[in-house]
Amino acid sequence: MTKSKAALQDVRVIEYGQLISVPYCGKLFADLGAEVIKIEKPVLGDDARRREPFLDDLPGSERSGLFLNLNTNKLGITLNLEKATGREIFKKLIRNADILIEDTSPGEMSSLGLDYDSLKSINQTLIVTSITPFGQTGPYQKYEGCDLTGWHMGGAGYITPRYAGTTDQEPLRVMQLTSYLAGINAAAAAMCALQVQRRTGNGQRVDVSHLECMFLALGLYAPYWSYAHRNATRAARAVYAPIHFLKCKDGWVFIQGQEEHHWRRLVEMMGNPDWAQTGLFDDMASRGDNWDSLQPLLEEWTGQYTKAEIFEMAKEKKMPIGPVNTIEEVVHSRQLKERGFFKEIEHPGTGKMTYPGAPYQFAATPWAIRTPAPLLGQHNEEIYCTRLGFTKGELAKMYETGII
Amino acid sequence: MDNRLQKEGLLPLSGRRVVEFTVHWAGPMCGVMLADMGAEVIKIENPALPDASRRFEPFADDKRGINRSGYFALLNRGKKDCALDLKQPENIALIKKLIGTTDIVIQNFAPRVLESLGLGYAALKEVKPDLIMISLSGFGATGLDKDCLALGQVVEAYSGVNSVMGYAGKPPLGCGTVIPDQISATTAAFAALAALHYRDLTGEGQHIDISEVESLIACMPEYVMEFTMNGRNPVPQGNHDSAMAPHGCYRCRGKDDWVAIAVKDDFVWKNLCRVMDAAELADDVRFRDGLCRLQNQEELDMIISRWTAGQNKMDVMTRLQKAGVACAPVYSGEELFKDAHLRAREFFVEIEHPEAGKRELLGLFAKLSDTPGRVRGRDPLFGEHNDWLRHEFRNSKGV
Repeated sequence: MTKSKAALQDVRVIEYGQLISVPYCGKLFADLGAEVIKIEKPVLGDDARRREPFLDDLPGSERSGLFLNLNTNKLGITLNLEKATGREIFKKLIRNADILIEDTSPGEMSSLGLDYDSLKSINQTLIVTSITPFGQTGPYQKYEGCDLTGWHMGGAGYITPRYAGTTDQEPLRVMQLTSYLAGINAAAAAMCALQVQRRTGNGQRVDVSHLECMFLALGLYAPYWSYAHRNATRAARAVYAPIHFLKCKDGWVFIQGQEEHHWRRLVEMMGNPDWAQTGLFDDMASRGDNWDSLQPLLEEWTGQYTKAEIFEMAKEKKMPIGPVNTIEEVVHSRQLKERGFFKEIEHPGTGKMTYPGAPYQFAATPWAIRTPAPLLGQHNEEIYCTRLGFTKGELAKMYETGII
Repeated sequence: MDNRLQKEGLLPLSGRRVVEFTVHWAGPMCGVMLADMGAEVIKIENPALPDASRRFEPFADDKRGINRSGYFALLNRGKKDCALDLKQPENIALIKKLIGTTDIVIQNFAPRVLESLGLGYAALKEVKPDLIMISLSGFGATGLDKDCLALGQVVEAYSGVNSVMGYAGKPPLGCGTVIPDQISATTAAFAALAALHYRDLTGEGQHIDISEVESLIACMPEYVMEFTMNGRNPVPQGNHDSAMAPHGCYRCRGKDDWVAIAVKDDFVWKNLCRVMDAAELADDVRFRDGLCRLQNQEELDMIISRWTAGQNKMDVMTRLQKAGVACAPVYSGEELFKDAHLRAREFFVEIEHPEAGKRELLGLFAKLSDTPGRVRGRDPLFGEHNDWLRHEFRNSKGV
């Protein structure tokens, strides 16, 4: 059997981080073929091991769906950096690495004697990629932060939910996307540094902040202050219509039909009802002004169909309408099945489960799952004995003394 | 720090050429990340239908104009811009000459569009055998929904986002920012760089097909696996969290002023109680450990809201951070632009534009210590580099 080609097969990554950002960053590398060694705290491991969902709702360090998904294709070892021997071993691992991805609070690695300059003296080519709530510099660098604070301080909460029309409602977080975004940005930034490393042999530090990643993620809404001296806000109402959720037979659809050519298609889809010719809804602004009368008319139509039926009609007409899918419907989506998006992965802690799959399809160097997430310390013997040359006796002693 | 590379002005992607057939957000954002890191990025626009972002707010001083949009500026600064009618054979020939010198093509039209112009991957590969091409679309280049008109908020609905945000039993709510576009843009930038790494190593280019839906669902495993492992559809829970309480937004003094507070463990909870001058709450049976606090979250939220109400949100952050409690203000755009921390990190850059004037834009997605990248210029005027392109390839056959 020939080994399939992998885009990052010659890249070696050490991962020292918790929960989502660093592990997702590491996963992006691992799933494209990089060797990723994940370092976890002895006994406890990554905090994600204690986060929902757990299989059958039974907590257990090998049963978290979040952890299992975020750590595919990695080698897992335990190591205690609080101990001097642990730090010496860490330095040995660093010697052969291209990239370290870490999320410790700025200053923490220095206090362990593992600051960038010390690591650089061991490995000139090392790229140290740090993902933290506020970055490595600036007055808030040591502040505590998490997904919630990154999202809201980054400006996304101020505009969510969109078109709330009021500020009575609290600003709202959406899933844990700030954490994933920071992980993706860090992966792209580390690849930029790797370009330099492969060309010049020069390593460097990469500083990624949740706050800045989220601010950039405002895209269209980010430069309002600088350009128009006002703020995008969730207090705004949709000026144009329809750009709304509408109730149908079995749930909701989202209809984006404010632009004239889309509106005409929608009217056709509805069979050219008389009310559409009354003059009340002739352009996007009047549809916005008259939304209170338009909404029941549209829902009279959407109410006759299921969201899947409406989506099929919309596809036919090239009309931007999305079904508000539940996760169950997402998992059963025919489109995603046809593209083979979801993957079944066997893991000793849970048996075979269905995971979200590749975020992209590489034609020549396919994204692939080679191994499931590591059990806590699963590769200790392989890394410490086979690679670093410790004896089994020494390994046992390291377990006893809490080094691994 | 090694200053040698900085002195030499080497940027991570110096010498790389990128051509974009992109509109709106996802494609251009991917391109601007590469441009800021040193790639030469050439954007091709349709003279009859400029990039939609040129027609979107915010406009400089609220005056509309094809070269005045801040949205376009943020996503296209530092690029060259050519407006070419791709129905004209001589322009196709010109583009192919350009592609012959290009490392990466980024496109975010529906799968059929470039194919129909004769600029699909197979055709471009003929003129540049080791080309890397990124195709970004709502649903991907294959499958029965591939031609669906997938604007960002349609993708958001389809991917299940609206069913897990907001509040259980209430009508769906939408995400304020167009999150599928940003997730897929950043994912695409990583993909392009991974493919470039592989090409440097082997000489082999490739096509990469990115579905916004899929790159977004890849960031939702905790929701997907709640269903695939336990057979349940996850229930939206507002700002609350499955592991932490308190975990929410609390109103402060001011019109729309809030702080976000997250308490990760009992130690932090005790600190919060101390700052609130309510040490007795730490031992209260309703709140003494994480599980109790999760079960009594509504009471907890009311207690904290009473405390934050009437306080300045920045003061709340300072006081809580001193005690090691994760707390941050909910920022508006104005507050982000004025934030002392972002200023100290020199996150903003000023561009000078002939029509929009002097404007500040956001900086780079990461700070690299030795080869930091930089915003390499303002956003281009519509078709500004047409002459450059013709001049560059004037002696080329077929032009």
